[in-house]
Amino acid sequence: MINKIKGQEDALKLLRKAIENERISQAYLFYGSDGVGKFTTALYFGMAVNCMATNELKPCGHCDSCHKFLQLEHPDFVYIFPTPNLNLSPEGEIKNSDALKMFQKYIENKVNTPWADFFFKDTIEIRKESITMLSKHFELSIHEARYRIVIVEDADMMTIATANAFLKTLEEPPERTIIILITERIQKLLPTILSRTQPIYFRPLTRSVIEEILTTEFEISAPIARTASRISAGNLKTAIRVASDSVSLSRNWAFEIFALAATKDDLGYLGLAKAYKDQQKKDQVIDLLKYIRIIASDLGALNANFEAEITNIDKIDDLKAMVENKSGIDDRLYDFLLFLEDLNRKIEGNVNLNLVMTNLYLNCKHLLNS
Amino acid sequence: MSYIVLARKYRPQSFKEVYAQDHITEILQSAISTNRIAHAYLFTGPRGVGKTSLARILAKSLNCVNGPTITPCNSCSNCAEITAGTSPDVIEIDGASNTSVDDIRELQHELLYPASGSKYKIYIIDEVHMLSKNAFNALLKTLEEPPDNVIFIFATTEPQKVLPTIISRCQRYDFKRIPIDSIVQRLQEISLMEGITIDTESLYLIARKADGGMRDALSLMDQAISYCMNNITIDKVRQIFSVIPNQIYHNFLTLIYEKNAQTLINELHQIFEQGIDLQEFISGMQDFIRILLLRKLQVQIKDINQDEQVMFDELAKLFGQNKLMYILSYLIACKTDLKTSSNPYLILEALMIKLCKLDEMEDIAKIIEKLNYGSITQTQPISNISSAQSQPVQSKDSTKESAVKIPDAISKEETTVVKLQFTQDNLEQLWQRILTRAKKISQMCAIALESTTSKKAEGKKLCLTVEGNTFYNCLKTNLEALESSISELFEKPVKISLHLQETEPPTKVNIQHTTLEDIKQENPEIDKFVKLTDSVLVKTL
Repeated sequence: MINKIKGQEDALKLLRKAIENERISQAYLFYGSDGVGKFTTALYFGMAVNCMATNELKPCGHCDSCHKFLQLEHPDFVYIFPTPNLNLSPEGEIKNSDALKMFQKYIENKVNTPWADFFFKDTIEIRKESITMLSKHFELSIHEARYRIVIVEDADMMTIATANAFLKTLEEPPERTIIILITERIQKLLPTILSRTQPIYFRPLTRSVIEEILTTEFEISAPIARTASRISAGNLKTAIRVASDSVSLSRNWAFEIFALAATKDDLGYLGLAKAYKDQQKKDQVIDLLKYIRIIASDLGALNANFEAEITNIDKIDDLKAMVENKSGIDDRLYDFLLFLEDLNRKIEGNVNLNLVMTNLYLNCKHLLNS
Repeated sequence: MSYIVLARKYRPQSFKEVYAQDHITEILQSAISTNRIAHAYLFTGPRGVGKTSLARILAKSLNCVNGPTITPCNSCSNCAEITAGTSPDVIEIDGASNTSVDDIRELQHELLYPASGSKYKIYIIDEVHMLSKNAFNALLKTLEEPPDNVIFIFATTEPQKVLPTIISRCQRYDFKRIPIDSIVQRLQEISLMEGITIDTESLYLIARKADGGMRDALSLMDQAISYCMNNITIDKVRQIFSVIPNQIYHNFLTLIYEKNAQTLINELHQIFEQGIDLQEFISGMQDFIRILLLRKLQVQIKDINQDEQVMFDELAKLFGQNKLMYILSYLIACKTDLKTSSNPYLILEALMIKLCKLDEMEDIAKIIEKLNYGSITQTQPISNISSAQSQPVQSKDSTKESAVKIPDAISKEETTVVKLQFTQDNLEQLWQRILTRAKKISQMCAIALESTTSKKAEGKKLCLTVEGNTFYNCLKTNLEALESSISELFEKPVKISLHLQETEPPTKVNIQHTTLEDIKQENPEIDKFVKLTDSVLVKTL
């Protein structure tokens, strides 16, 4: 089962050695960007130290303990994540009934489709009551497991009070307890928290790993998997989201813009802008920019006759038509890419999207026609 | 029994095990031996330097059966209980979990009962900065005059959050960051006790990465041990902490020196493929260049070992100090860009190309120097530069002060300049400099001078024609200062004669309304048309 985690050989080796050498630390900190397997690794690590299988390949995924862990139902497993106010009692009872439903949905989502993000409606953070609950839990003895496992996801979402309340517990937890903190933003954690943990870095997944996972695990066709892996910047969650949009709207949009820019069809662009009016939202435009960036780098690759580097293989003929007889694209390409970077920043700063789109079109035109 | 991490296993148990805090341990020891024990202590300092440990040691020295002593036995029942955290007389409170006034009240109730089996009743409140303001205030009276034999020890990383009224009631001890040497020494001791071989390079790497915290160092050491067991080598340690070997930076800088952009980009792609954290990569490179710079300045650094020094020195020879500074500033800028960028790879590629082309961007100091040499023919740029220099000095209201400061800057530049004859041509040529000088007298004066409609050199006189009363008055008040400053530029002193140009009053404009008759006269065709259709002019434009 552990082999399912790909692209994190170093982290896995570190953990495996810790188990083999019986030097499992009381507190780990898994850090690295989103969607690279931090939670899965943490869970499997917890399963592995508790697995009842006799063979070497732990976790087995079938024994009683593993099964409970996979369902996130193990009595000696505490899972803390940022939530809306649950009105949690020290015994771990959730008194806020609305939040309880959301909580259950979150767990359900985490068990069945861990790659999809679940969003709570309210503002979320890790509250002090969770830590109080944890300390109460630690006062009791362990039910059945060899090691009690605590996973704190998005540990940077702890409020300052929570983090401080956690310090003493984190420094001297009861024996046979493993606390695993998970975060994307290690710089947001208190230095006093960092100093009490063993940090383990999770690197962004390489493109080939993402392609492999998409094609083998999710049965996604090669060209889409390839595009998705380029867009995702090492984040499997993004890659899956991108790849599972069967007809990618943003991608078509990007290609249409380029097609119109190539033929200098300004009137046609106005029509297009109207047609895509509904799509013109912040997130989607940022998505669009990602595709535009990939197309631009494809054009560059085509220009330099690097056909192997091309991402949008299925559209190669269109791309070729665009590059043909256009000299000087590679000179302008660098400026164009920087322009896209700048545009991205501007969109994050909430500028007028209509202007962004027009600017984008005009720059595409400039790129394709000297 | 499960495994206990090094930081807990080797928590200091006596004063001499607390490293690099001699300034505190000595005072405490002498306080104990002379029996001058305060009733409240405040320990502050960064993470992992021994605050909580020292608090426990202090508790042990006071409550040990042989106590108070500076060498607690660590074997009597009291000591053992304190180490295990079960002593009824040493109460360790987590200040961050028990923050409210109620928690303090509870504590005050307990204070009524004397210590059960030992001499002192000791309260250790850790992370005390998280107590609420009310809780702090509730504590004040107790803290000032606690019952006999009650001792409070507070420990915190953030003393600025503790109320001043609390601080003033405590003996405050500021803990220092632990220097690299002491960390290495401690790690060495521990590796001996654990029976582990570890090379010095790894020790230094861990100590550097720990950044002044002993617990950090021990956590990292733990990680290294759990990975390598009994034999820790530098290669494995680098692998664990994904430290980029200096050799790679060496390659990068050599390629930058050779301006080999293509290979540089290829190297960079290999870094990308390895999935190295880009922020880490950049900060590593910053460190590398820092060492280069320091080596260039012949500074002895403890961070590197002797073998590497030769490599650094050779590389340092290739680069000028300025160039290294430039690279460093680009890296710093790049690091902030990386944080916001959605495509960090692109930013890094662009940076590398920029660094390769660094030589094409010339040194500013050299440009200024060049300009100075050619100053007679190129007067204009100089005056621009001198004005740029003077601007930051100039403040709004104290023009006098700035006028005092600037002359030496001017005289430096102008020693090479030959004074010119006062002719029309020279006047035109030096006009920019005159303006700059005027700016030093007053900003307004320069503007007035700039907007003169004509300027003529007549004999020794400079005839200026000014438009508008405001400018005229301004020039008139500053006339003497202007004259003297302009005179410095020419062979002979110059007099200024001012003329006020009368602005013409706005002329009256007759607005003509076109009538139907006008239109008719203008165009016979329309005339015909009007007659035929009987048209009327509805609106005139």
